[in-house]
Amino acid sequence: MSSSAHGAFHPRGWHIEVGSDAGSDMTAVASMHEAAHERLQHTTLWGWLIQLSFAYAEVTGEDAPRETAISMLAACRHVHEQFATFTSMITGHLRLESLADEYPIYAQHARRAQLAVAGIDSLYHQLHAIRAIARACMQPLNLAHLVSVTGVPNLTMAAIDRSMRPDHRLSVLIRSLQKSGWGEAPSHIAADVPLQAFAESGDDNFTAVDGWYYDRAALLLRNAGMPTLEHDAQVPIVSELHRGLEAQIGSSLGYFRAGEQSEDDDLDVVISAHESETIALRPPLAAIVLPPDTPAEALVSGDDNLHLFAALRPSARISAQYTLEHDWRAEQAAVLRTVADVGGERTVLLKDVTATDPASLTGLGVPLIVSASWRSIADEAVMAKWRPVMTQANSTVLCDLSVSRHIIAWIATGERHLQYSIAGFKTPWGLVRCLVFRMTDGGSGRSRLHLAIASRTYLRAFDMWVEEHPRFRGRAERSDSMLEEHQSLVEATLNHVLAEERLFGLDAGEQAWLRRTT
Amino acid sequence: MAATDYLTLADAISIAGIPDELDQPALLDLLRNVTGIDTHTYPFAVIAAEDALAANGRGAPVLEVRPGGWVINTTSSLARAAIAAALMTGVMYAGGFDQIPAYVLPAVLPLVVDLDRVRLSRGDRKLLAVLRVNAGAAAGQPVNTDVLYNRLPASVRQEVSPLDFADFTDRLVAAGEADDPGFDDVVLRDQPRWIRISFE
Repeated sequence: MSSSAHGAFHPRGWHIEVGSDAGSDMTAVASMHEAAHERLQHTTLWGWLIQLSFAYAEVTGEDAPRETAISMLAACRHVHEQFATFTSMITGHLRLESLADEYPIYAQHARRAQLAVAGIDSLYHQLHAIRAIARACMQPLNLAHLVSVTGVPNLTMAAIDRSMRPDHRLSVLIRSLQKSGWGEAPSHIAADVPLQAFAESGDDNFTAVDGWYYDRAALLLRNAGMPTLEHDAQVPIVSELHRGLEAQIGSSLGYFRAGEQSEDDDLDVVISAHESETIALRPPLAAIVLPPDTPAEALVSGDDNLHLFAALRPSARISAQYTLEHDWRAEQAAVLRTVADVGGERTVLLKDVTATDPASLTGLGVPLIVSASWRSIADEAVMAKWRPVMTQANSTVLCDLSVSRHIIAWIATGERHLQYSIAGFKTPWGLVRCLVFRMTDGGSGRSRLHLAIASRTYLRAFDMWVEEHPRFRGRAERSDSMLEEHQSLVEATLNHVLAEERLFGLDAGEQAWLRRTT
Repeated sequence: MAATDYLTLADAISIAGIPDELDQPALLDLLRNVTGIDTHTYPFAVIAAEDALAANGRGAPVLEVRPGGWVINTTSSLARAAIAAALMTGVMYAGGFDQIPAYVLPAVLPLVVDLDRVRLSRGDRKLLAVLRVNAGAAAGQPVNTDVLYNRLPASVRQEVSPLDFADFTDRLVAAGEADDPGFDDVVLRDQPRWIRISFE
């Protein structure tokens, strides 16, 4: 069982261990499962209060809001897991039997979810129904009243009685549904939408269907003595709490604010939420930092195409990849890397070249290939030092910051265009996917290639984002010729990156990253 | 009471047998064998039993998808006590005692119930327990549920709403057919009071 994919949702995102096959359906389901947790958190009052409490505790160092958030998470666990399991199972075309083999506990969540949607034939409507159950359970009206009095920092679990607790509300709602059922959907929303058709072209009736199921679940809860917020009534409440907290602490809490948003903004929020994902290809790698007097030539790689591979990375990120102790002395480090057999074990060899003049690495008779972390080259001192040896032909940027925020900012200049492609690489850990993109000025001006290792789920979301958001009309193209043009550079770089690193995420700009992955 | 009709919970568990390594299916088997409760009859009682057993492992603020499920080593007496508390939690949820979250209930029960003397009848689906609400207080005097609430450990009070606790003790007292003096009080007794929880 240890080869199965698994994931964990954290307050700031989620982490996918891909198991033995990065490209498997199960890995995609694990990724969708965690994305579903994220969506539920960000579309409900209960979820937002957890997120805000964690964020407030992180910024202020106060323990009490963190304790409350942990307890609140425990009190909605079944609602969350039922929703995320059922949603990812259906959208990932996974059968309950397959889930039961590898994830027996989650199969129980799925079975209970199936009972809750019994009587609904359409899978599309079942997804709406299960989402309505989860959201209505996480939208207690009395909690809105309570937090308006206490504020987020002083909210305590003892003040939250069971009429507000999602898992208790779930048991009450399920009993009501067993007694009275969902009722008959009105004819104007009753039509089935095949999931494939929905994935390709959406449903004009989505809002109406979503609203009908939510209202039905909310009504049943209210009738059972559990007042429930209207469909989107949490948005202004959360927005005000969020603003108030940021005003109080004088800094951002680091989330997209829940405000009144257009559908286009929603697309940005969706892609941003997917960027909370961290992918772990395998456990930490064996690695050795070679003595400082080791000649750079000792790290030459490649059989037919000899080269020297340099990686610029945040030093904390390097430490998280490997089992080693090394004082990097600087926040941004530079290493030469290769892989060798040491004592029968594949081991990553590292030479710390943070303090070395990069020009000295170019005169060794083999080409230098540079993979620069986005976070590292955001540090102007790093870039000033390495720019002279980094050309478009020998260097790429490894994305470890938000791709969408950068692309939005670049497109907003009104002059730049996006070219992108999605490449798959066969590895011992299955098919690993990589987003490759660059910005152009519409003419011959081009940026370096940017590479982002990502899940199938993220890449689908990226494709949809670029296709549907109006900012990309006439400004973005999928270009496989870009890959062919730089094939040897991309291959050499990804051969090193995938063999010598294991953690990939777009959160190197967040302090929380250190606590989460080290 | 006709004690011969009942087994202690501990004896019932011994008779059913606990494997050295208990996983989720084994817990569900145990719950069914000891109490007759299963996922079809009382789905939320089964969840409650599992939550109660997992209560000690809680702490990390994450929702995790892990293959294979959980397994606990049952050879220590602590683990056996936790299993007994988990089964009792399942029974209580099936009997309508769902006022307190299942993952907290094992920490609350010792204050109000004498766990060592809990008895179970599988035939007519009843659980008997000795109500302990008079522990440490003067016999015959009413005591407010708030006073009982304040006897809970601080860590438990952080998790439980006083309103829910009051509803829970009300229900316990009602099950024991105790006198209700009003004003949210519980009448204390100088003799242990058997309460009867019916879950069918």
